Amino acid sequence: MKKQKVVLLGKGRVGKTSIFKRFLQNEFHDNEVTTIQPQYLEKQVKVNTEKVTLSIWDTAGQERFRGLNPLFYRNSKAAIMVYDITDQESLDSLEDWLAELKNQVGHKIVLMIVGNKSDLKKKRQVSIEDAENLAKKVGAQHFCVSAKTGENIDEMFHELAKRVMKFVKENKTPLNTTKSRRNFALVNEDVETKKKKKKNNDGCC
Amino acid sequence: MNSKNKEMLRYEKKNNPFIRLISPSKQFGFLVKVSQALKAMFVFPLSSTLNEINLSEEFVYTHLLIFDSLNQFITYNGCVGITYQNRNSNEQTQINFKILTKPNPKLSFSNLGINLSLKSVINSIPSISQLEKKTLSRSKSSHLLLKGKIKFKFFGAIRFSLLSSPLYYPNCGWENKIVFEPDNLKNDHSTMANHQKNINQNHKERDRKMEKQKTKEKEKEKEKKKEKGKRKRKEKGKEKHRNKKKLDGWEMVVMKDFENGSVKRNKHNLPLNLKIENIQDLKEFLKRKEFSKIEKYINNFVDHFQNDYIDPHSCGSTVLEFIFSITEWFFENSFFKKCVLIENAKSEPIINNHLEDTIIAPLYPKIMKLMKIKVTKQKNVQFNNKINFLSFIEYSHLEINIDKLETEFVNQAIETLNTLNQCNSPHTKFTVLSKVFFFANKSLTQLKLIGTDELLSILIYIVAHSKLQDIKLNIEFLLNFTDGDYISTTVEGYNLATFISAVIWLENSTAENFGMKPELFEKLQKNYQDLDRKQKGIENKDSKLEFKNNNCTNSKNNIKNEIKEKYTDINNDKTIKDNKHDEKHEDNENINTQNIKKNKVVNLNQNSISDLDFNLSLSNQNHQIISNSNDNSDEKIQEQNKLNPTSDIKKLNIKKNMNKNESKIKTGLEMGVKNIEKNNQQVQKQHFKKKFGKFLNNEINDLSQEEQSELLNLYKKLYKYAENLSFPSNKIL
Repeated sequence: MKKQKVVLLGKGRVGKTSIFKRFLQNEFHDNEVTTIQPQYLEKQVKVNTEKVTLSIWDTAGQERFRGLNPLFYRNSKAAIMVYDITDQESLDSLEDWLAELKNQVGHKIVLMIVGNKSDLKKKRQVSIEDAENLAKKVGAQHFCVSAKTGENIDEMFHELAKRVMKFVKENKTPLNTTKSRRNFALVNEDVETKKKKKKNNDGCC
Repeated sequence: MNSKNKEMLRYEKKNNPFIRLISPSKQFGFLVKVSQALKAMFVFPLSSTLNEINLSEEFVYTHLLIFDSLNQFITYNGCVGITYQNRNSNEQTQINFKILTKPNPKLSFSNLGINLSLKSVINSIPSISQLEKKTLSRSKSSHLLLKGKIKFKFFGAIRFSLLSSPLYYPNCGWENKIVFEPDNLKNDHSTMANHQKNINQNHKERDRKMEKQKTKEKEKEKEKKKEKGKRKRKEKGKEKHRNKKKLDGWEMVVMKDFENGSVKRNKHNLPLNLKIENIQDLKEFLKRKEFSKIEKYINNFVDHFQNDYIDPHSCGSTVLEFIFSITEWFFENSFFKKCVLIENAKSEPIINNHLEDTIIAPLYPKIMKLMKIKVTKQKNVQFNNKINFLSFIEYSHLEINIDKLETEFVNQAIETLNTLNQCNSPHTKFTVLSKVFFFANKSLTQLKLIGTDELLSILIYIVAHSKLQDIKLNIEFLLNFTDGDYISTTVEGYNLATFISAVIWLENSTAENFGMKPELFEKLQKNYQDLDRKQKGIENKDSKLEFKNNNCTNSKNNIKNEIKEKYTDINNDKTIKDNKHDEKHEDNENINTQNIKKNKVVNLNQNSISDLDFNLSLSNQNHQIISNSNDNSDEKIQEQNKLNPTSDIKKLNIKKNMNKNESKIKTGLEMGVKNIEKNNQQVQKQHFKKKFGKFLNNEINDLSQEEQSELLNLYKKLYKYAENLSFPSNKIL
């Protein structure tokens, strides 16, 4: 099976990069890590007898960098939406990320909502119910992980690989068409116009 | 090896377009002899090399084609075939086989008499028809069927794709001297025996004559040899050296290895020690046919493309398809694969470079002209200006901790990014980008986790500080000429995406990003563009003259005021934000402003004082320091002053209470003057003294803190310029 693109999304400082790094460090079912850059990873995951190569993209989560470039979302088969269980805002911001993802990708993709820092249970602000409700609403699967301890990280990626395989088999699209090669709009919407839109949306209570 | 063999090999290598690997093995030499003697052609499977071939009976039966005429041939197993040229390419030959007769079971090397000891005869080579009559007698070979006992694996010729054509060696002494001579067919058939008897008799007679002649010649030669023995030894030594030189490269290595028997093979049956050092070696290895085919293919396409496609916008997809087809075709080529798979590190970059230089790189610019480009000229120029303008960006603006940053790598990244425009193909551009990312990541190694946030912010800094032009066109180029899947599933694609987002961030950056008033930011940007245009000489000649003659008074003064405001704003912001790193920031700012100024300066001549003044005038723009150009001075100096607005230093309201730093600066300026004195350029010295001496001699009266800081900045910038003028500024500061 070809490489499948997976995008890590979420607010800044929720721990996307640390999840990424943890997955890289873990020897997950003796799979080979093919390519490594601190922000990009290719890893082969075995699902039963089949193998999937996930090319995982870490994205910028800071507000000032949001929505800069649709290339990050393009052709992605799955998205891991990360929030911090000690930060309610991070979960709330996931809806914005989802909206942006829909705008950019425009079709169904595999979604995972992941609550990071599960080792800090005492400082938990986000209830599991809220997160699971959001997951149900969006059609995603919810996981609580800890990048620090490595809890559930492998399981989450294994489940992701499973779902991606299923998704790809169900939605077989012709690859390498000439249309997919080019005609990519470089300039995105201006930041100001987006902000204005946001303000208009957030204006009412 | 004999000298003849060497010559033969060399000739073969030069003239046989099909031969891939020449080895000095006995088998090969034997095959060449046989094929030459028989005017025959050997047919090899594509996957095999000459070294693999075992000279078995089956091989000769199936692979040795004896040509009756130009097109018709027979094999020893009785197959008759016709070769014909492929219409599409002159170099391809196709062969059709028909099995007319069944194989001769007892036809072997031994009974053909073409064992390793071939006899040379004076007579010319018999034609195939003669040979048939004498030996094979195709029509009469049916009798052999009855006596057939040996079972053959191959009744037809094996499928093949590589041909070794028969060659004759006109300058090697081989031509017309070897004759096919069947000796042992007497027992097989009476007709064969009769023929052979006649042949033997003739040969014996000829041999006798030959022997007599040879003995005479030998005697003469011995005498000559004795006389010229010493000379010959010397000559031999020289010849060895020459041969070594000629046989340098892979051929020599391979030959040695084969001789030593130390050849190791990989999966593809290719010697590991094979060295491909030049593109010519590569061509010989890859088979010249393949290379010429590619080049023809490309040339045809380009001609066709230029002539036939009137509307260039309609053929974007075909262009892409073409380029993909070339690269795919080339990479799928079995020879190429083989060559790459050899564990020789040199071969791959040679191939890549050759591909880039000769085939792919020249194509892109041609094709890029014909394609739709979304980036207009205006946008491109605007963006270039903006990036030049934004080169004042500092680490603090991007929230980067300088403590955890290794700036050396950042500078390296900037340097490598500046080479992006030198690359003509997407492959090379991607490699440049990946290098930039490598350095960017290295600069952040002190951070525990390097996420995209950190990477992106450092990348923005790198792009802003690079002098790279036409970034948008570069991105358009990369997006047009790379596969969508490649972008979405490779590191290179990731790098491109982050690079683009950095560019977009810079494009959309507003005053808020830098803590400035938006009105001021816009004004500054516009004014900067105007100034840039003027200094780049985009304006008309008249305006240029005005610009010079008026000493840049009106327009420049306005810009000076505004840029001065800008810098004061930035300084204020800095003092509020980063109290800890004040000194560092100031230095960085100075460096940034210096960069801006450097860009503005046209034709900086370090030794000429006029240029110095002009540069200083530009530096003064930022600080509203205006000097009079009407000072009392020599005629020469007055002439120079026409271009120099720096003498307006008088206009400054210089006040008292110098700081410690100012005293340092003063000494620094004096040092600068001293350095010029050393150069024995009296005119320059006087001029410099007059301008700065006044400034230095004036007591600074009642200077406010802000003005002091301004002055300080100015001095620092002057020192930076002093650096360019080979002043020992480092020692001063």
